[in-house]
Amino acid sequence: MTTIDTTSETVLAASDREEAAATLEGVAGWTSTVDHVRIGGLFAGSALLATLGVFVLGGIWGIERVDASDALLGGAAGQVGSLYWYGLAFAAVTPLLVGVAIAVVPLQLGVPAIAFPRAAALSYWGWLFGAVVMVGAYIADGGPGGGVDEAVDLFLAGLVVVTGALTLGAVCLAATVLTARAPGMGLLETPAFAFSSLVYASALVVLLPMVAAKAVQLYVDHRYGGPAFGGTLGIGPNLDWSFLQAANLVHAIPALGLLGEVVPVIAGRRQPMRPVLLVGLGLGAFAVIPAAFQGVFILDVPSGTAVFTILQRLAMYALTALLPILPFLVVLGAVGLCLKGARPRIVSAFVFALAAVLMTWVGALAGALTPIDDLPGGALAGTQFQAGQANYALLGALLAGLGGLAWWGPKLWGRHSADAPLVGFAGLALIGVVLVSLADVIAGFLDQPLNDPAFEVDGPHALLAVAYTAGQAVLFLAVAASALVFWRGARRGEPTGDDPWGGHTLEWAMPSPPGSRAAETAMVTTPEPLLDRAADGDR
Amino acid sequence: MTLALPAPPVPEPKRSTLVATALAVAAGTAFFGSLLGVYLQVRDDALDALRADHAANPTVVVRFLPAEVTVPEIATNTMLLTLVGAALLAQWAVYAMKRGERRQTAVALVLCAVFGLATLNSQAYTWAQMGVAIDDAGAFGTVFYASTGAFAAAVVVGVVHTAINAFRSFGGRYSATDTEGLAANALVWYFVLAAYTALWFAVYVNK
Repeated sequence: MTTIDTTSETVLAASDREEAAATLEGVAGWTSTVDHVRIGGLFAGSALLATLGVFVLGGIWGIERVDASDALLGGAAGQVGSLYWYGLAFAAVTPLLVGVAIAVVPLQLGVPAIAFPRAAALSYWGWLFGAVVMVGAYIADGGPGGGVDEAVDLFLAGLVVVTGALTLGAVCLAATVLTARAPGMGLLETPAFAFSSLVYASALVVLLPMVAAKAVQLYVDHRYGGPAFGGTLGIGPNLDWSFLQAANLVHAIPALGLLGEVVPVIAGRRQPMRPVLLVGLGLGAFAVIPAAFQGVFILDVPSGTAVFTILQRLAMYALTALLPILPFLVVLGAVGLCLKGARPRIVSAFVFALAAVLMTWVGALAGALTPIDDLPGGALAGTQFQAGQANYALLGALLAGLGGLAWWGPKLWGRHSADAPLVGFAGLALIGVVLVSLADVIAGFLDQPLNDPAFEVDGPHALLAVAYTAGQAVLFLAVAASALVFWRGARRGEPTGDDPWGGHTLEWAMPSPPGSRAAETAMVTTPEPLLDRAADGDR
Repeated sequence: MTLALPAPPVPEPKRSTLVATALAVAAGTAFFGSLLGVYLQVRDDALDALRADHAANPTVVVRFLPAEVTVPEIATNTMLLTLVGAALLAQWAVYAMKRGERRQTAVALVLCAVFGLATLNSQAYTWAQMGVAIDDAGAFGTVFYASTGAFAAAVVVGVVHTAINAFRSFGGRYSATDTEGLAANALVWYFVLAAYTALWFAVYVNK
């Protein structure tokens, strides 16, 4: 069977083989797996490890900025900062969110396997290989601004592999939601997180190839060409849009989906105006439109500009900077309606999801300021403000990944994780995100240049750098402690029932942990099949 | 406690291969759109600079292509026609299989792959005839080889995809009621054709 071979018969055959493969112990079982839960687990576990590494880099980068020089790292300062961003975007946030979705979405849809399970496995291994190549390239003095030409080329090649592999995973995910739902389940009956995963995967299918295309051009240019794009020093300016505004707001979509998934359950009621919630999630796809500009659209209206030109630029501004705010308003409004008059249980997944949505929303609001060229204190584009916006968006999205693990962890590994400590760690992580991001936002208002450790401007930059470093340390602690709680829960937690939260959707009707054929008996006609079943039982 | 849900009817086959191929085509469209968008942007910037130079010194030629480089238009136009043929052949394979004509399907797939290889040959010929020195052609060399190289890679993907489907077809995998893989193969060739049409106009016609 090839990776494009996915008729229903072959998917079931893959499940059969997976049952056989499950008998393989240890490394062999994990490396040969085509089980979506394991593939998602591999993605999420690897991404959490990468996240910890990213926070160490962030801490070092913050210390470097305390005295506004590159005394600590010397010539490597720029590369440490660069690796922080590429690591955060492509080794931590995206794979974590994709991994959680790969593990959970087929269960939510009531199907025994992800579409194209081998392609999904290839996606993980390809991503891992590409990410290792990227990090290796940095170690060998590569990456944007690197001093060794071969290592710079290696970084670009690694980035192409990473984006290609993640695109493959996104294709598998979107194809699963579009074609492999349980009988009776239309798109409108799809659970909120699965629907948001479809929107997110579709957005990644557009965004990541654009990043790959740019990396290919830069590779050709750097390895063989003139260079036309500024050589090694031109890589950052040509590629940093991939994690800066507005591409980073794409990662908010799963955060919105998680909130829409968790709130009705903890409120113990159906989601009112559910189609509105889905529309809000769908609007998240608009975040990919500004990404097509491969940079910030600067709203520059000099005096004497023709009225039509002004209107054109205002329309572009609205499209690229204001439209990404809209899905937050719609989704928060919808979940607010659900919470109105309810007495929700406070669980860690809710705290993580709410923190994630609020942080990414602040990122979207900050993004509305970045393009304005004529602010009283000067333009914010090109300053550390953009880093603050990106930290709000990316770190916020990271919280959504942790929230997903907190919510579905008991289902995936069949054991309880201690939820009360996770609530605390979610709060701690929120503090960390605010410290890191707000420090950068304020630094931006003080005209500190973007991602430059050796700057010469006035202001309390040392204090801001200390706050930034402390934020990275807090985030490291929060993520490491959360990962430890997940690990302990998975290994030694009390066995959980099938439905520890009183969930509404199909995955909670399966045994914990789920078997490969557990969902084959599901018939779904509404968005909350388990709630319907419980209501029928009460009558 | 596991809640027992009512048993469903047997699910109808869904077109997951075709949908996934459509998603891959969307990814490819974003990829080529980005490549060509940057190509046109670089071209515009270069021409603007040359026009400014030309205003100061009329002997400066306003031309994005390096001096002495000409486009072998017969080869590039033939490539376009060849790809039209490849797409039609891929569609013919679907048409034939739906009517149970296995021999015609095999002929169509083999010819489709041959047309793909012929396209690669034409692309190699075009590169050789143009003789663009990548390290001495300024911005043009970079964006030209990045775009045309990516196109050649897309053709290779199409040929491999066709070969896989041909072997599956020979092995009896498809039938009059199951032509999804062949339809996906046709979709790939429509995409390659569309990508080349955009490339052909931007790079070889518009220059």
